[in-house]
Amino acid sequence: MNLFKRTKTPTERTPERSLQLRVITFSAQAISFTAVAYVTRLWWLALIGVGVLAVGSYYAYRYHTRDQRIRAVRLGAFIALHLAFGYLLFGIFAGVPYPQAQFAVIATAIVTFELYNRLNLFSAFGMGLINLYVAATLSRDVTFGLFLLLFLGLWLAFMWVADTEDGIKRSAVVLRAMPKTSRTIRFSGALRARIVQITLLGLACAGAIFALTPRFVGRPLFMPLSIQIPIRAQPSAQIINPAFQLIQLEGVTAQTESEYYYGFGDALDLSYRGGLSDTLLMYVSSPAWSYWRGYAFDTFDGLRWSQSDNSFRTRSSRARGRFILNSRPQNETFVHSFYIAQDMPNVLWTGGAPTEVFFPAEEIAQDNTDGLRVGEAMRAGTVYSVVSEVQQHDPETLRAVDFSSIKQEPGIEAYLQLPLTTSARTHELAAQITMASTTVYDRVIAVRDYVLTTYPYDYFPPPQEPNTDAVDQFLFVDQRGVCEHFVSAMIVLLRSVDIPARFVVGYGSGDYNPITNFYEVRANDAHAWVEVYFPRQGWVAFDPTPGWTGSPQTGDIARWALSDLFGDVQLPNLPIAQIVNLGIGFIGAIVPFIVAAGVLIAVIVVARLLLKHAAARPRLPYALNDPTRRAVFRSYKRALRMMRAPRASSQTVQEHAELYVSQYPGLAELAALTDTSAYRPQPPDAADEVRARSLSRLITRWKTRT
Amino acid sequence: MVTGRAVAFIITALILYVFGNQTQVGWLYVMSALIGGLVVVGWMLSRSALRGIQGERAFDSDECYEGDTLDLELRLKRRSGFSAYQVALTEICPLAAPDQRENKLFAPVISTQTPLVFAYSVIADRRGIYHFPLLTMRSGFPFGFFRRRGSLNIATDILIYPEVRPITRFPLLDRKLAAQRTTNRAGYGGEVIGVRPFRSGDLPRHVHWRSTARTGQLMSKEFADEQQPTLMLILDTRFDGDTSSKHNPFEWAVKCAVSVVDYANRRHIPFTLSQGDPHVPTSSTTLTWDAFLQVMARVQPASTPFDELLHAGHGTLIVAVIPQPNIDHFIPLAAAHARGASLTVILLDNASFGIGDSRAADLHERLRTASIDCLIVRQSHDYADSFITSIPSNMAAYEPV
Repeated sequence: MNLFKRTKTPTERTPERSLQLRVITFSAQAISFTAVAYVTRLWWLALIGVGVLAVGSYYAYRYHTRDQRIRAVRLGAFIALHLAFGYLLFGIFAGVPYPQAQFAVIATAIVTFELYNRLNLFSAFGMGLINLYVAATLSRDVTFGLFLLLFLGLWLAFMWVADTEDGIKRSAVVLRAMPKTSRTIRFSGALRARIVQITLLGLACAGAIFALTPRFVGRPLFMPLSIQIPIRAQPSAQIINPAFQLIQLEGVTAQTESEYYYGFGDALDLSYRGGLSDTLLMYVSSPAWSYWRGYAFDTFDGLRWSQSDNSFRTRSSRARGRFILNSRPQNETFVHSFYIAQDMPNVLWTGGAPTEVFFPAEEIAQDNTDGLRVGEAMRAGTVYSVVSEVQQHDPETLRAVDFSSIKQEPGIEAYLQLPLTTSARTHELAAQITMASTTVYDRVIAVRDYVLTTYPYDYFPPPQEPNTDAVDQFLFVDQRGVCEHFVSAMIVLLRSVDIPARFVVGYGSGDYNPITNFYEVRANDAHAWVEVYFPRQGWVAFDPTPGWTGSPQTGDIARWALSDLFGDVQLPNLPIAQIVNLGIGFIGAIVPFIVAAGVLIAVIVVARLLLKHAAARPRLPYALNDPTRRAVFRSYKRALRMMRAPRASSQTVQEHAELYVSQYPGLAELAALTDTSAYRPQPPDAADEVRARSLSRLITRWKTRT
Repeated sequence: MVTGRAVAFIITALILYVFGNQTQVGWLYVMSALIGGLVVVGWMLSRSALRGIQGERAFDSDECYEGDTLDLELRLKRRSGFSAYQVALTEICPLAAPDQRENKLFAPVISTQTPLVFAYSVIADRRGIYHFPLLTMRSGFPFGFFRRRGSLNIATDILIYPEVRPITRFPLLDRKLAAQRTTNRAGYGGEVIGVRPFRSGDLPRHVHWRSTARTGQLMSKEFADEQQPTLMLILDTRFDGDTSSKHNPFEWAVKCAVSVVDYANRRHIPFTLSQGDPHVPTSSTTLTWDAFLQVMARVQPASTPFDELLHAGHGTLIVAVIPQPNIDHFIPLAAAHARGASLTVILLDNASFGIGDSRAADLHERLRTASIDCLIVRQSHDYADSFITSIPSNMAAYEPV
């Protein structure tokens, strides 16, 4: 059944003569190049690409008919395309920046030499779309939308102009609107109104589709992973922070803003002060809201947090940078990818409880607080992905947890440690806050809420007094502070009532951009929060800092662009990777048969083509069986090629020569020589062969000169 | 109708959507939504692409004869709202020759303010009443994602009269011109030719009192029959040949008939028409020129016997036009001639039209033998020059030059 009518017209295959359409195509492609250059910052690529594009477009327009095409140019384009592909393969492994983007632009520019007909021009838009696709995957801000709209606008203009030109070609009579009068002016106004109508309707429909299209968040077939910035150093327990370590002189508050959180180090000193800049550090693509966890400190000496155990486990990569941390996750998992925009510490940020990591290294380290590290600081441009379990805990479940044997848990004492400087009034306060709570969970909530609601946040609290306990000063003296103070206070209060807790550093979720689908994490999103241990439930996050969420558990997985509106509507995950893997497994089993069948078919096709070609090929006349006869004939054929005047099969050599003899000196003699060489009983001698060659050269030179 | 372009766009949007799901790149969702949105907009706008277009057709003449050049104007406009764009139209002009009827037009825009005017000239190919068919419209507006078809009914009827060629001489009508002639037959004239006994219904003023007194019975005056010479045109509508071509004996017979009546009309000779098409009722009384043309524009072959036509009308001068002559026509014609009718018979030679044999020649021979005036019309390349103008005085068969 014919479900749709193909809009194929004779003009699709015929040479495209419309300069207007070619200009539109050129502009659209140039925009796609600019978009790629904009997101990659490879402006030289756009310059070269547009230059080649201009030359190619001009060539394709100038020589748009089949017989005008220059074989050498086609061959050159073919070779250049393969060289570009080779460059792509080389670039992937040699660390060339954005090799896929470079290849997309270069290939598109080269193919421009082959834009002969309408269909080719349509294909050019398809290639432009591929460029935009590449740019879209690399784009992190909304500026890309401008390129996208421009490109689509030109595409629509192309279709409009093409349809109008086709209509004119098909019709004997073209009805044109009216003479130029004041009404004509109103008419152009009507066209503008129509364009505005289409634009507004288009944006409205696109917006509705964007909002209502479900997002089946599944496991991607290919995890985003930067293979051109591999980390080769062996991982260690040391935190390598590219930041200048802030040094606080006692009593002096640093007022400068840093791009790097001083907490990302082997220890965190509460006497440090200093603001954090608004610099964008990384983009996180995640279907679920989360804090981006780094690692945790367990030991507090009243002023500094540190890790009591610096040992770590080394995790080795399986294939393609894949690290499996937990092969049997108990909860739903989600994939989140990190696109590092500024050099960062050697900490792998994760959301939820990581089960798998895809990172461009051979080994990563996992410390005792489940923090992940690599061998060197992460450079801008690094991309890695993490598969994590969703961390959502039911309060009732947590209330039911039995804490009676908490002290028998191995290694738990590190999380119950209190500094010697902890004041008695701190213990009293802890007891007072938790006095009314019957369960451990309620005590945790009581402490969190007390800290959260009692003390205001102050970005620049007073300097830490010498020889004092930082928590005591926060709780009873300053009574204001930054997140480290709130977190430290909560942990000390919890440990005072024998609840194990630890100090976690990382980043808040950042601002979510629904257009780009990225969480934009900035330097001032650096944060600290608390993790409390619940037997058989694991570590549960709480955040006592005002202005942040109190229970930083993994959010619901977003199924829509505006998941806030459709949060209750749940959609299934599509296990695309598993489905594809199943398919690949099946295909793998039958691959030998497929290959064998393919080879067989190819052999048959080639054999048939060869046979057909041999059958169609005229047998050499007896006269041309001699090498010297053939040499003379070759000279003659070369001359015809240069003349661009092929001889029809119905013409004799002499008949053909008569048509051109006035234009080409020497042609008559060459034709006569060819005739006699071919048909006289004895083959031509060497002198004839030389003469034929010289006559051919004469014609070639003459053609070149004219 | 969905076009391949829309399908390509939808597939592209789906691919981008799948890639968006795979990579979680928000821009891919945006691209997918934009492309999908364009298709949706294309569908929405295409629904109204041809709505509200109205048109009218005008032509410059109230009276048009076959072979005349007619200037037509097709005016198109959109009633309200936005202008319509990229509309391909097919205007079928039924008046034109079959191979010239279709006009393919393309309107880049049909605005609401100034109408598009398509003016064209057409040669009326054949007599008849014509009704313009629906104007078909197609549009791929806005971006060729969907093709819409529609039609526009611009009711236009045109009546094309048969071709009239001016005749310079027609002996039958030239003989008596417009003069009255009186016969000795009793009638309703003014000249008294005798008296007779009074009959019921005679006017009292026609009583001849002297004879009444002389004879003793009531006597009335008897008047001579004084008659205005009237042409009675008989068009034999029996024709079973192919009439699809405009050059067929029946069409030529109609042209001959109209041309003869035109000559009579110019000489102020009243005329009546006797034809056999029951679908075109014809009065047996004298006709006006316009009424005659109306009838002759519509008349089509019918099976009414020829002798019925001979007896249906009245007139002193009879011209019978026979498109498909055969020997059966002879008897009624001879009878009419015997009754003293002034008769001229025009025979269409079917053989010259490539149909049938030359029975016209046989009939012609018989009529000549019976001293009935007749002529044969054969198809020639120029009908006007060959017909009537060079009729031999003896009314022998006419041979085209």
